[in-house]
Parts: sequence; C-alpha cells; structure tokens
Amino acid sequence: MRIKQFYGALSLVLASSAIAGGAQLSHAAASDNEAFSVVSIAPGVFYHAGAQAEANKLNHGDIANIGFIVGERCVAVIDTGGSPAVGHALQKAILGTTAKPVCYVINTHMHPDHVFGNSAFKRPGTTFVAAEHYSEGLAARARTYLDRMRSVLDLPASIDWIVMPDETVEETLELDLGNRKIRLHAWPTSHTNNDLTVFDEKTGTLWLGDLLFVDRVPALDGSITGWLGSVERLHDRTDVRYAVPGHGPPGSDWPRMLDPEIAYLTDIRGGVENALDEGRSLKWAEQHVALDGREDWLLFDDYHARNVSGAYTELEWQ
Amino acid sequence: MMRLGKRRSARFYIAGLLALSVLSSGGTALAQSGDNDHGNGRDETVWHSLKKAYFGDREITDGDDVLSLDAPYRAEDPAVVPITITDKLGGTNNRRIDKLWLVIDNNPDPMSAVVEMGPAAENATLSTRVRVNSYTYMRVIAESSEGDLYMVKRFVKASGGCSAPVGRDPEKALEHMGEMRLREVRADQGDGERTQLMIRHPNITGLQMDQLTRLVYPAHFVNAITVMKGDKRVFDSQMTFSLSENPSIQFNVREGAPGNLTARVHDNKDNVFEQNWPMPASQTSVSDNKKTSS
Repeated sequence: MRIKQFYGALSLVLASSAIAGGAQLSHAAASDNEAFSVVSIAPGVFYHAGAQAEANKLNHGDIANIGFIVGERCVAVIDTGGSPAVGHALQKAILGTTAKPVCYVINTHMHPDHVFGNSAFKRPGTTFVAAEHYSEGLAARARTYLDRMRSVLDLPASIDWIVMPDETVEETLELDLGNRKIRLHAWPTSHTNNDLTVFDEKTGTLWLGDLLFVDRVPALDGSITGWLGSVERLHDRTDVRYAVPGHGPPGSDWPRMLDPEIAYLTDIRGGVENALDEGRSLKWAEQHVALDGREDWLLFDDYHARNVSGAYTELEWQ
Repeated sequence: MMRLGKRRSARFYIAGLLALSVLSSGGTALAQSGDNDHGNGRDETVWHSLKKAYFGDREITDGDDVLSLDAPYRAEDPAVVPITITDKLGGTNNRRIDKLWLVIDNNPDPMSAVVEMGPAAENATLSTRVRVNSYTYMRVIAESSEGDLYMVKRFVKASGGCSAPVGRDPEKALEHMGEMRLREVRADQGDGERTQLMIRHPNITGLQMDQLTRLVYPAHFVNAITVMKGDKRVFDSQMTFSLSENPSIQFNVREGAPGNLTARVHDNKDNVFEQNWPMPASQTSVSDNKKTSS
C-alpha cells in the first residue's frame, strides 16, 4: 500500500515565492498546471516527482525524484534537483512541513539532475554526504555539465552550483536524525561509480537513486556487470516496504519493480556479448543491440545507443 | 622513446604547444562555440589557426576522391565516438596515403592524432574512438605519396543528458593499465576484416576542475603508438587525450607481410608498454594474448 498526501497549500506558497530563478520555475510548473509539490510516501518521508523528460528550460532541470526524511532532531535531504531553483523549491517545501533544520544533504550520485540544487542548502550545520568517488566523478564532468546547463536551461550556471561532500561513504554509514536512523550504502560501480542508497529503518523506505529507473529508460554511466550485480543483490532484500527510484513513481511492489530494469540491462549485456563474439564493431552494436525495448521505455532513443556503447566498451575487456 | 626518434616527436610536441597557444589567444571564439549547442561550432576560426601552425601555406584540397571520414552526426556517447577513415586510394603503390592528421576543432587540444603509414600497412584505412567535447567539426587531412594534402570533414553533435567526455570507470582502467589485446573484427562496410589493437589506459584529460576536489589529477594519456609487422612498420602515431579511455585502433596489415605483430605504446608519463603477437592475427583469439608482454 502506498500512502499519498498532497500538499496543495504548500505548492501555492512555492509558486509565488520570489527566490532567484523561482519565477521561471513557477512558469514551468504552471505550464504543467501543477506547482512544485511533495508527497508523503511513508510517515516522515517525503518525495517530489521529477518530470519524466530531459532537462529543459520549462522544467528547469526538475527531472529527478528528490525528497527528505524528517527525524525528531533534524531533516536529511536526499538529492536536490537539477538547478538551484529546484533546490530552493525543495527547501521551501521542507519549511512548509517541519521547523527542524536540515542536518544532512545526501547525494545519491554525481549526475546534474540530482545535485545541482545543492547550493540552496549550503549553510553552517548542514553536512553534505556522498559516496567515495563522487568528488572525482563530478570534478571530471563539471565543466561539461555547467556548459550544458547554460545552453539547455539558459541559466548562468557557475561553479557555485557544485557542492562537494563534507563526508564520504566508502561502504556504509549510519546517520541519526533523532530517534530515526538512516543507513547509507555505497555500491560498487553500477549506474555510476558513486551510487549511494539510503534506507529509512523506521518505515522500510529505500531510496535507490538511479540504481533504479521506473518507466524511464535506464542510463548507464558506470558498469553494466556492476549494475546488474547490484540490482540482483537488492532483489534479495526482504526489508524493503517502499522503494523510491531515481526516476519514475515510487512503489511497494518490491522486489518486482526491479524486474523491467534487470530485463533491459540483461538484454543489452547478452546482445553486446553476441556482437563481440561475432567481431561486430561498436557502431554496429549501437545500431542493432536490444532494440526491442523501444516500446517499453520513455526516452529510449535518447539513451539506448549510449547504454550499448558503455556496455560494449566494458565487455570487450572481459 | 620508441622507434619514432627524438627529433620527430619533439617536432610534434612543439607543434602541439603552438596549437595550444593559438587556442588560448582565440579562446573567446572557442568558449562561445562550446557554450552554444544549437548549430554553432561550425566556426572555422580554430581550423584556420591550426592550418597555419601545422601546414603553413601549403595548399589543402578537397579530399572526397582520396579518403572519407565516417563519424556519427549525433555522437551518442561523447566519451566514445567511433570514427572510420577510409583510404579510397587503396594503398596502391603509385599514389597512396602516407600520413593522416585528425583534427577535432573544439576539443581542448584539437590536433588529436597524427598517423604515418608504413610499408606493412595494406592501406591507410583506420578506425578509432574519440572524445568530443562539444558540437564540433572533425576533419582528417591526408598527405599523399606525391606530397599533396587533402581534407575531408564532418560535423558532429555531442548529445546531452548525464554524459560527458570522460571515462566511466577510470580506477579500473588504471588498475589494468598497459594490458593490450589484438582482435580480428568485421569492417562495417563490405566483407573485410580488420585488426583491432586495444589498449587499457585511463587516458585522463587532466582538464578537470581540480579546485573543486583539492586533489590533483594531472593529464595521463597514451601519446604514441607504433605497430610493426616483423621489422616493417604498419604505422607510427602520436595522439592526445582526444582518444577515448582504453584506446582502440583498427587497421589493415599488408597481406603476406612476414613476422610477428608488435605494438609499442608510450604515455605522457614515459611508461612504455609493449606486446608481441604471432600472426596472422585471425588465428589469434582474444583469450590467447592476455599479458604476453615481452
């Protein structure tokens, strides 16, 4: 069962807020007839649904699921959205929900749609947490990401958008929000080389970041074998009552909600292995492997060939 | 270092430095084209500077009859863009392609690779994988055995999303650095086969925003590859970090050229990796030649 509460009043506050970039954000929201909203999926666990689209001027980079968990002492934010405006909107949503301060901002990995709202939360007393290789991964890509945000979002993206972690997780880390423990787990290279999941013990809510895509085609920026290994391990977990993917609707149909992604990644791995056995080129593989998924996934044509390329350049070394 | 001889490699790097200084003075144009993903980048400014630096006043004519460049109009993965240069002269003895330059205008170091074909090459047809930083022209200049220069070019759009022109798992590439493999692969067109040399190397650009991490990741990339068949050269090449992580080059070895195939790979930290395969390579399976470094 999935508990849903909509915070309509909160949305109105947000839509009229005068934060930097906020005007554009509310335009974006208005065009969808819906302002920035958060939904409670379990007691004290709130999430905002990112659009199932590429980042653009209208959605302001608001394309990833982001949210927060409220403890007795303080709040942990999990991902901050694709621009400071989205981060500010999330911050307003938190203020409308609780007076408790944000003590942690947890980034599930270094992709811009999950972390470019970080700067909205930067203040004394807030600790930024990410997996071990987050900083190198983001630093290597920062220039490209900021350039792209300038052209795609038409915003003056600057180095201030990049907030590096104060604390990194090598394997696991437990954080106490006040009578509420959350467990962070850093994964071997999977979706990226710095995937981090967050588990709220109290409600059995697992935030998977982009280890799980629902409806939107998975994007491989790490290792196909690593990713399949990680989701297969996750599949065995029996303590998960609610799961929040990085993209697409959360649910309680655990672990079955992992299955479409596992099937897709398995198809790519098999198709690429065959192509390699036949001496087929990278270009051939990009154009021929695992195309059956086109009907099943949103944004398939935007990511599929790249996924095949990533799998090919990895598996050719097996 | 290697068979290239010091004099030639020194000249290459001086030219490389020239290109960089040209770029920094023309930095505004570069920044503008890099910032705009909507069809700009079709700017010839960078090329005009490079042309002057590398070729002086030499005439470069349209090369459509001499060679072709196959590159995707949309680079699906900007870290790994497969390209093929096809030699239309076919390596005939009268008039053949002796040397190729690969230029990617809007990359940080546009002069991406220089390849000199040797007598053990069947022709100058080559495939490789490159990084593309932004929307850019990619061009190949060929020098014929008669000393004439020809050029072909393609415009390439780097796609967006979360992708960037960096490797996905640099730690793993570093862990296995220097491993090489030789495979026989199918050419995309026709029934032909090619030899593919694969090299494990992180090929780090060194252009990351180090101020963000307070860690320093200096550039670390393969900068020269020589392939020999027996005592004859297939090709000599020098390159920059425009080549993708784990560089891959496909080429055609001259049929009947005797001897083992040897690859010597040099990186900018003066590491040298060398490996030797019995040929014909078509009898060399992938699993046969792990770590047979000499």
